[in-house]
Amino acid sequence: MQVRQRLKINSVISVVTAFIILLILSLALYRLNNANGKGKIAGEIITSALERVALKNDYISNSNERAKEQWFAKHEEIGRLLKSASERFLEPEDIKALAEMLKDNESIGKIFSGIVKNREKAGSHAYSADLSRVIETRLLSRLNMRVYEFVTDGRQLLEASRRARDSAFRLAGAGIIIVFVILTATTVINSWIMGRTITDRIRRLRDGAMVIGGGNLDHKIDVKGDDEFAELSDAFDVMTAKLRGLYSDLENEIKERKNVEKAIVALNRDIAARNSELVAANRELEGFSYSVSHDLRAPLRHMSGFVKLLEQRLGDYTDVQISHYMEAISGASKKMGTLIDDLLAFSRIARVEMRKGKISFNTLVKAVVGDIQHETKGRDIIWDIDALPDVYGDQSMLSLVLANLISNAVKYTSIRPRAEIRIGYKEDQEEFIFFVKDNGAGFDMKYANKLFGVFQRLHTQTEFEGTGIGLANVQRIIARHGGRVWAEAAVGQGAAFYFTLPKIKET
Amino acid sequence: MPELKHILLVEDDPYDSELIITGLAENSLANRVVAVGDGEEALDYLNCCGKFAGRTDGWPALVLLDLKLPKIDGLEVLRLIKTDEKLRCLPVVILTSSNEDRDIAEGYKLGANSYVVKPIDFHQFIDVIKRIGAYWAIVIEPRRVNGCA
Repeated sequence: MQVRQRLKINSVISVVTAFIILLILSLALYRLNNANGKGKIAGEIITSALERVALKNDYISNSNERAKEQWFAKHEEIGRLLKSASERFLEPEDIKALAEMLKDNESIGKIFSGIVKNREKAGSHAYSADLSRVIETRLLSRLNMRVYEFVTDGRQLLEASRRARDSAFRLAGAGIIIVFVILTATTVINSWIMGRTITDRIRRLRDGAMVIGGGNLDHKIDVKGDDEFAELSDAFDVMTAKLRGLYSDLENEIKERKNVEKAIVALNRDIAARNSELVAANRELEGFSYSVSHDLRAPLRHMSGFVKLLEQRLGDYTDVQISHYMEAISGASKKMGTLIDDLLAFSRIARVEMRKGKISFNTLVKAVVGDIQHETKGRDIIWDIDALPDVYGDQSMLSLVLANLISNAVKYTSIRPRAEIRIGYKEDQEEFIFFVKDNGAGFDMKYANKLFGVFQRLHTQTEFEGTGIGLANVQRIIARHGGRVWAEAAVGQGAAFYFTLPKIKET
Repeated sequence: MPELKHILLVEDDPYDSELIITGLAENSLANRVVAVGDGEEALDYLNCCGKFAGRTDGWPALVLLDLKLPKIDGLEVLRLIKTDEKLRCLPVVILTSSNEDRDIAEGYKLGANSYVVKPIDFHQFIDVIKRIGAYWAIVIEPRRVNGCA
């Protein structure tokens, strides 16, 4: 049975009991009322009877006519009272007593009437006063006896009514107590049973929950029954089953993730190993190229040195060829030095770590143009420079790019009386496209693919000096930034050099 | 008049050696140069042993030390000089073509008095030599403790 049903039963029992008690009380009250009514009437009858006696005495003693009339009135009243008493007193003894009382009352009436007649007769003619007195005395004693019996019966009725009242009380009391005891017993028993069941089942549930909570998801609580606890237990078991499923899913996923993690860790280790190899190789290369360049420079120093010494030794000489030859030798060694420097720088660009950051191209261009001013003293150069955007990259490398392109522009416009150099940019979704345009010597597009080659030149040294490494550097740097370089030109009509830098999305 | 002491030049390249001596000549120090070709000879000289046993020319005012030397490497020579009680006070100027950070650091750490990179340009080279010679061999007070010679 469901717990709430039991609870309902409990409350029903309480209500019913209350009802029964109410009933008993009503009954008791009714009987009490009854008894009271009876008692009242009996009391009234007795009181009236005694009053009647007093009236009789008054009449007898004082021949009070009024008393006589009042006696009869009282007698009538008593008759009425007896009649209503007979409606109330229904016990057989009481009926008997009442019948007696009625008889007595009738007698009393008769006797008194006799007494009255006697008195009246005495007053009229030849009766002797003594005779009348004797008759009266006899009548009186009969009257008194009847009155005495009457009152006794009356008292009996009164007693009866009192007894009825007492028994009503007792009944009520007993009834209430019994019902109360029964109610208490039932309630206690029911509650005890319920309590036991409930606590027992709750304990089963709790124990089960604790086992499950301890980690054993296979445990079934399985509290049987048809009440709410059984339902709860079922719900619990369902939940546990679901948890089991989820748990094993989670375990699988974790296993998978751990595997993936392991793979990643292994990969990372590979990468780290590869990285350190590369770093080592780089460092080796750096050391190598450095020492090589220095070792290569020593003979250069010797060459230029001894040529100078030779010159000093020769003192004054007239043969122009001698100085020409010596210039050739020192020029060549100086050239070689420059080539070595350029080669070193070029190789470094590929190896050196880029330090990327946000760079103001405006500032950079201004700096480069400022640096180049001292080389362009006396020249007429028109600078047309756009406001350039900020870019993301290695400052020193990009500075080198700008220096190269701008100094190229300056160099190759040296043949013009008025040089025009224009620096600007375009942009699209993904990148900036910068350009440096000049109105200088230009070049033949046929050889454009050689422009960015190492030591490749499209002009002779007599036309324009240079090692041909500058643009190779530019290309390398821009490539490292993820951009592209190209150029457009026509012979005698200036050149335009373009390079792109990707836009970095700020995250 | 300050005494013109001599200079110990430790340089393996004969051309560099010649150029250096030429430079020193401009301050009239040329005839006061003792040139050795490797580290072993340098130490022999300083310790008055080997082929320099019994020399009597006293302490050099300056040791010009190249780093890339055969047999005993320049830094090792430097270390040996600077950890020797008697030799510690000798001024040693490293004159080398290497300007690698680790050589410079190691040189100063071992106690070199100066580290000079040989200029690539000949004129600058001669200029530097002149100045070094003038400073160390003429201007500076030489040490006055007696050596092995």
